[in-house]
Amino acid sequence: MRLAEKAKAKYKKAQAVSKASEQKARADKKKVKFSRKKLIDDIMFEARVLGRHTGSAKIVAEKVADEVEQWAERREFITADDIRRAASLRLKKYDEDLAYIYKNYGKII
Amino acid sequence: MEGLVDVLVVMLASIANAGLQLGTGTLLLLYNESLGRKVKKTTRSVTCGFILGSFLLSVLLISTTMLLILLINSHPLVENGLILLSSLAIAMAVMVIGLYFRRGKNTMLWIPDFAAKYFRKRAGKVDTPVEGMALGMTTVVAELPFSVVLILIAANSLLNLPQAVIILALVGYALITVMPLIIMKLLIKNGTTLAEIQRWRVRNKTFLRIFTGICYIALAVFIIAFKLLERAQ
Repeated sequence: MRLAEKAKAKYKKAQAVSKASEQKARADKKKVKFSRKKLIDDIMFEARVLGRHTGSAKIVAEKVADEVEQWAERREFITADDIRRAASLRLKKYDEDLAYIYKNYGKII
Repeated sequence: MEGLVDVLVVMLASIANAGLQLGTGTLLLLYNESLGRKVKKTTRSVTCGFILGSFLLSVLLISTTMLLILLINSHPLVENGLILLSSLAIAMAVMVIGLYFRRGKNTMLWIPDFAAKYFRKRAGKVDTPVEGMALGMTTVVAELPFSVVLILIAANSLLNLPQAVIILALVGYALITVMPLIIMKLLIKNGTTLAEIQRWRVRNKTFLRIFTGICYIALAVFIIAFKLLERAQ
């Protein structure tokens, strides 16, 4: 009986350790470093898709990138989805269609 | 009367097929990727290739299915075959209404993640009309789990029509199937933005699901009422 209990406890401990390491591995994979240039390029790309004027789109993209950079500096851990959500929230006040398309990139099919 | 019922079945099957959203979504994705990277002339030719590819493969699939039915059965399906088709249509109606779209305020579909990523990747790399055509054909193939029942029903009904009408009905089926793609192309050409189209799709997601499911059920009812019960009488 004691052996069985010991084996059970050992198994539970091993499961807990493997689950924690799996979560850490998943978190490490998703964690990204904020890139201002990439964000501006992505917003400019979507602005071209919508036929927006390049000059005004660049101004908007840079303003949004500044705001998102300040937001990202206050955070220890950010994912690509977090950046996308933060950027689309700030884009909304400049251009709703652009914010919508940017937010829903990859969610069409 | 028989001929009219078969034509109506073919039309209903094509409308149900047109209600499926993978082709529409992939075309929207293609526009999204292409307008951002390429000149408008390339986008135009690539999207025309996509629509043509979908049209051609639809025609090919129906005609191949007609040939297979004749090879296996030597005549159009009767009784047992029709019972099977109508039960499959009802099962597909439940699947379309319940499982076609994923949850959330988007139009993500039932297809596995790796398939969705593949379509996104391919849509970004399409450069020529031929590649667009290949992508159109790939979406028709990817949609087969939901459209195979419609293709079987339409092919079976086409075999009952007079020879002179078969080709017309076949082309009509494929044309109605790609009609949403043509409408989307015309809307974008006239100035509608991708954001407006995508918002429309998200807002009417439930309507599209239920409408397509009802078309599947109507097909089953047609087969049971006009083919099975009439024959029994």
